[in-house]
Formats: sequence, C-alpha cells, structure tokens
Amino acid sequence: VDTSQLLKGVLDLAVLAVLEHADGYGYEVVRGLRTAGLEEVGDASVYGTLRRLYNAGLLTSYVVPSDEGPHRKYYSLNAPGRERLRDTAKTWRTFASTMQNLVGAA
Amino acid sequence: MNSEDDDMTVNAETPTRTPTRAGPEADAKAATDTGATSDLQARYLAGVRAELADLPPNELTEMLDDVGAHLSDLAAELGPDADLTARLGTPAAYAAELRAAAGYPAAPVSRAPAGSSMAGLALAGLVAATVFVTAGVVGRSPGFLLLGLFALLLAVPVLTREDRRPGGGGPRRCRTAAGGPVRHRHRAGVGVGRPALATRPPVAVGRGAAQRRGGDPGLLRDRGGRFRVDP
Repeated sequence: VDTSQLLKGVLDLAVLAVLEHADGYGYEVVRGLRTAGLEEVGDASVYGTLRRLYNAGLLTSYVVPSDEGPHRKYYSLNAPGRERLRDTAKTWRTFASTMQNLVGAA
Repeated sequence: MNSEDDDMTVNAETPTRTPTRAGPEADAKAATDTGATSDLQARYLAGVRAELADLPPNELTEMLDDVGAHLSDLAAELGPDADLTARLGTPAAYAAELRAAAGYPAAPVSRAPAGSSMAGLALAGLVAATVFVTAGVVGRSPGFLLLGLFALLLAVPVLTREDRRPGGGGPRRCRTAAGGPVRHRHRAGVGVGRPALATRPPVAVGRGAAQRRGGDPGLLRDRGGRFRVDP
C-alpha cells in the first residue's frame, strides 16, 4: 500500500502529537515527523496543516527572534488542541485495533 | 540532495524581487520577516505567491511568512544554492499541496462567469416555486406545496448570495476579512446552489481529491514518492 494514502487521514494527529512533545516551528515539525519515521510526508502538507489547525483554534503561535536567518514562528498546542489530540488519538487507537484484528492473521 | 555546505549563508543584502500581487505591505513584510532573501528563494516564493493570489491578504501574508521561513530553513540545511524544486516540487505544486492541506478553496480557474448561471438557477427556482405553490393551493395538494417550498428554499440562498458578491465572474476569494478561520466560513457556505464551492470539502487532509482542479496534475507527480495531500 502507498503509505502516503494512509498518511492523509492521520496527518493532523501526527502533527498534534509532534507539537505535544514540544512547541516547534514549521520545519521542526517536518523534521519531527520524518524522525518519527513518516518520511513520505510532504513539506507543504505540514505547513498547510499547521496553518489549518491554527485557523481552527487548536494551536497558538508566537514569534521568537533569531540572530541568524529569519524569525521563528513557533506553534504550540493550546487546550482545545490538546483535547483534539486526545479525541483523535482515541479514535486512532480504536481504528488501529480494529484493523489489526481484521488483518492480524494475514 | 544533501549538500555538504550546511552553514547558514542566507544573504541578507540581496533584495527580494517578488511581483506585487498582494499589495506592497505584504510584499515588504514577506521580504523582511521571512528571510527568504536569496534570489532562488525569492523567485520560488514569488511563484508560490502567484498561485495563492486569490487568498485573503491577511491569510496570504501569514502563509507566505511561513513559506519564506521554510525556504530559509531549507537553505540553511541544504545550502543556499540547493535546488528547491528538486526538494519541494515546482512552486505551483507546492502551492497546491499547501492549499489542500490548509483547507483553502481550490485555485480559481477561468470559466464562464458564474453569476449568469447562478442567476438563472435562482430565477428558475423562483418560477418553479410560484408554479408549485399555486398548483398546491389551487389543487389543495400538499405535495405540490412542499415542492414549491423546496424550490423556494433552493432559490433564495442563491439570490442572497449573489447580492453579496460584487463581481459575478471575478476570482473567488475566501471570505475572511480578518484572516479568520477560512474553513468555517466555507463550511457555512455549503448549501444549495453554489456547486463550485459547495462541493469542495473545506478541510483538505484525507479529502483532497475533490479539491483539486485547474492545476496540472502532472506537476504533482514530479516529486516521486513524497507524500502530498492531493491525489
């Protein structure tokens, strides 16, 4: 199966999970996902997802000045974001276990 | 892909040359704040900006701010002369991926002015409503009456929406005056009679397929294997 197809449905969850570990600017989140093993994730998909989650009120952002290069816009989970993460994680676990039961013997 | 030259050499002196699509303020902000200051980055950023020109100015500025930072981060990692297109796809593909993931409506494409067909639909709805209601009342048939009300329901939102749109066929904009949640506005807009926007899911990830149109799908496949939201 093309992993990217599977990723589509869970990118929100993955991004929220990365941000739960630590606040991060866009590229940090990209790297966090890659490090976690989601190497097929597209950069622009991550940036777009961050923006959408932010617009949905699940993230806050703050700017940290940087000596070298651009300022950093950090994204951070807020309370609704944490709640969304919990909900989505629960849905994910149920779904994953259902799928595991279904395909476990294969 | 991995350049040995990974020191941070973003040239802050090079002026950005980005075509003004979103007004001079946005441009200046993008240029100074994002640090997308190498020529390569500026050109790439301009390409992305051109693809997203239909977004509300605030949203565009914010998004391009992020994109500029992204390009700078890549330059820092891969070297300032890194081939951005090899890594990210073309600016158009990048913008399409961004658009889908951010839940923005698909890019406007030139087509017959939507206004006339919408007005026609609304008119037909009103006529049908009148006919059915009359038939329902005269013939004491609740079925016709219901049909009439249904037609009315169909026509009225189209009409009221037409009133609010300044120019029938111009580029569509997200209706977020202050860069507010784009998705909610569009979700609210999902109703009868506006196929172009209404059939588009407001949130992209996982449902991107219906969002794409107008772009060149071939471009999206250039980046072999990399995940994107679009089909």
